[in-house]
Amino acid sequence: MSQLDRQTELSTLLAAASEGDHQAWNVITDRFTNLLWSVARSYRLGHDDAADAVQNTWLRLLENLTKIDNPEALPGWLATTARREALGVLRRRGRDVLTRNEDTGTDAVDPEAAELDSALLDSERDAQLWACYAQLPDRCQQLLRVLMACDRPVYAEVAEAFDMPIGSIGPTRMRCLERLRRLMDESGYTFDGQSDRPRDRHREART
Amino acid sequence: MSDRPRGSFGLDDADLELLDRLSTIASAVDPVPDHVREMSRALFAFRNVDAELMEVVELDGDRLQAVRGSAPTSRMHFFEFGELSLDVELTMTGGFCEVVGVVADPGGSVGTSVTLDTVSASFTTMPDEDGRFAVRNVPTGMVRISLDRGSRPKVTTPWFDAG
Repeated sequence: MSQLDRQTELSTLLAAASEGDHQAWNVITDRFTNLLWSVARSYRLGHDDAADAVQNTWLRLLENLTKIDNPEALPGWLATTARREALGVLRRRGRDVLTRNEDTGTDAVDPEAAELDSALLDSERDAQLWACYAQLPDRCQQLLRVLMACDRPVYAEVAEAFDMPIGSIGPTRMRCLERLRRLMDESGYTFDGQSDRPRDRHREART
Repeated sequence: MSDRPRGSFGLDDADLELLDRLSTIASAVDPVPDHVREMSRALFAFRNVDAELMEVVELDGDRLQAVRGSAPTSRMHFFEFGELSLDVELTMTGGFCEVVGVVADPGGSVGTSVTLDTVSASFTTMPDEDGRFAVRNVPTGMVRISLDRGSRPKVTTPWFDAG
């Protein structure tokens, strides 16, 4: 039985995987496939294309397994590689990547899709939160989609892997989160983390 | 979760909680499909065990862009490892790819075998005395070409896109 699990350090996992330990590889992929998937989906790749981008990213890691100098930087490396592979898939499909990258104000998850998605959610507030998220500009959706997919300790590396000037990551992220909160407020719901109940302003105003 | 340092990367507790909530929603509305998780694990079979990685001298994607829409389209790729070089031309026809290559090995290519891998298939062939080889009906997607040179170091290209 292998002792490797989610708590094992990346340096140990990478070393073991490059020595041929399949279990170590499984732990690495189990930990980061969601991140790669989220990066790919944040570029609006369909399921098959997103699966290709995930696959290609893992193939790149496999050919570089013995060359990762700084194992702790792996999440950022994976996010950057997944981003490049996602753009590669888009390019192959002949789509106009350049206009996509502009903040055109279009929605990565459009409101209609969000409405369909909401059928999968138990709580009304979650459905509302997702609907508000769907109204954010592409750039915000992309950044938040990737941030929500990664473990806390690697936020910085992963965010920096996206092509924002380093100094603008913090402000952009804060702006995106503030915008989301404002949308929630305007919708009559709040996200204070205290309650699952929607706060209906009109009802409050009447009482 | 115990690992929630306040102020991590400039995020306060409320931000982290909001991201957590979004994360839960995303896993409900857009979960990683099981087959993608399984595929990710299984790719370990493609680990480079004993092959030296060739250097990419040129990956030609431009020509494909320039003639997109007209069929068939072809692309040239060049790889090197020391004195050894590998030229590959990929031609797309239908949903498949024809790969024609030339190995230029100062040590000679007699006894060298060429293996072309995709994630779903593997083709092995022997180059002729001029180092030429061809592989047909390669599925589109990522491919890599390895040269097994007997007692000399095995070399392989990085994965590159065939179509």
